Amino acid sequence: MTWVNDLFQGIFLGGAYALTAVGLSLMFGVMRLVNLAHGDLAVCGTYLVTTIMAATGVPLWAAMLIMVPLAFGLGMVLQLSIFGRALRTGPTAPLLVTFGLSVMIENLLQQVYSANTRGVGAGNLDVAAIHLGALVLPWLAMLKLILALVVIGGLSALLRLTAWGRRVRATSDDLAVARLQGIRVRPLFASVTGIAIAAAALAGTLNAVTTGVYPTLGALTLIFAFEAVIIGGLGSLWGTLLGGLLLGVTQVLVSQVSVPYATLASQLLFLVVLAVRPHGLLGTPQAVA
Amino acid sequence: MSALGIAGLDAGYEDFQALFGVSLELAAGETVALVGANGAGKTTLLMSIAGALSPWHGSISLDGTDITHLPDYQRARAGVVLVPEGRRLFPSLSAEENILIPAGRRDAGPWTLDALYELFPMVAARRSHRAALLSGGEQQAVAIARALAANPRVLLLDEVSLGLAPAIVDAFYQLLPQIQASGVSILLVEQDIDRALAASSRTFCLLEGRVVMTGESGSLDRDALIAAYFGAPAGPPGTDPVMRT
Repeated sequence: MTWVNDLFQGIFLGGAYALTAVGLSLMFGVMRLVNLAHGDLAVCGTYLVTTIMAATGVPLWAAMLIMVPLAFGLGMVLQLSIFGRALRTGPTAPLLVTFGLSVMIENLLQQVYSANTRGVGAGNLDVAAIHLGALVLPWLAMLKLILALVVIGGLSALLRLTAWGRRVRATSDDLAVARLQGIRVRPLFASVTGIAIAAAALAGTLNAVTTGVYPTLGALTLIFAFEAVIIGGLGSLWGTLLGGLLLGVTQVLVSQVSVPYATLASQLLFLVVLAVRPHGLLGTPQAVA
Repeated sequence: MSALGIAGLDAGYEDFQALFGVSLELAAGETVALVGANGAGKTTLLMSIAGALSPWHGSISLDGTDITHLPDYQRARAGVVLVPEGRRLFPSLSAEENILIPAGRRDAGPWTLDALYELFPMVAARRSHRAALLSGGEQQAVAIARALAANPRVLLLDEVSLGLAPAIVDAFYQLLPQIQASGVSILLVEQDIDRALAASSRTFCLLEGRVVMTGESGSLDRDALIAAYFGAPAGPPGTDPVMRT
């Protein structure tokens, strides 16, 4: 029975990874942009929530409702101001620009909020759980998994069924021809980055309820998000969910045998996938080329 | 007033000049053929008109309005639409999704989705298939349908017969009058001189970036045109510049 419980905890953890990674996956899938500031932007969302809560006294959920549209706007502004420009410059510029942004964000956060870990006040959300015999279903972890499913399912539906999604897929296929068909690429890409950053900020905040938040947390966030994207396959949102779940389950199951090896095991999983199937589990080989 | 006016166009890539002072007018509803050898500048001219390439000098106008500096996506919305060489469909989209992409003038003309399916029944039959999985002829039909869906004022056709079986090319040229009847002006790039002459009212010949010959398609001297095509005296009778594949 503990194995069943462990499996569930792994799936919950995986949901958190997937929710963190979905924006990274979306931005790479659509624009071929690897956003090295992804984790730091997620952390910015968390600090924004703590600031809103401290300034106004509203509860966590209300602060998050205020934060998500702001994060969407920040994503749009970043795309219109620097990411888009970097993409037009060439393939290496986005890496340099987002890495620079990452360094700037981490130092700015240290300057403003100090290097100390801050808690995110969530009432008893971080400990509330349903107990079914030996099975523990923590509300917060379930919430993250459900949000991961909703965000990934919703995005897939938007991409597949709406005119916006059709334009995004067409532009991802062939940007030059998309422009020649009358598609205005800049606002379209801005909306994509807005969604990506909003999802990251949402995930970052929920993760911080358990772990707290500190200015350099973004680097760690990025690594796990990146691994989820690569394991699942570049350009595939459902692959990112699968990658996140595999990371989470591996980590929790191995930690039952040996806690120090848990993180190592998930990195090994990542390496094995890279070696055996470099385009990821659900990715297509062309997406890597 | 011409539908499309090009005056003194110089264009090229970095330090390579591909077009030298090209001038060309297209009347409303007229089909003009553009012939020339590989590298003569035909695609460069079409890319410049569609806005994918900024000209160095000269001007481009649509219905008398200067569009030289209009960005590519706005030109498509204004009604200048290119069917690119090699079709360049969006491979991951279905045939129908490809046709639904053009933004702007969807309601400004006769080419609704239904009308396009009537024109290309083979596209209707394959509408939900991914473009990447269609045959060459089907892809070309989708590419033309996608362009027409924007209800263009000026349609730029870049070597639509390239790589297609002769029977499929014949089928396309049989449909051309129906497309012309909608009032669209067509600039047709074609390597096959006989097809170009038959489908157009006037023909321009480009050689190394310059217009070297122009005239009524019906009265052009074919041998002189072939000479202009190669920039050399006409070869012995019966030699044809086009290898029909």
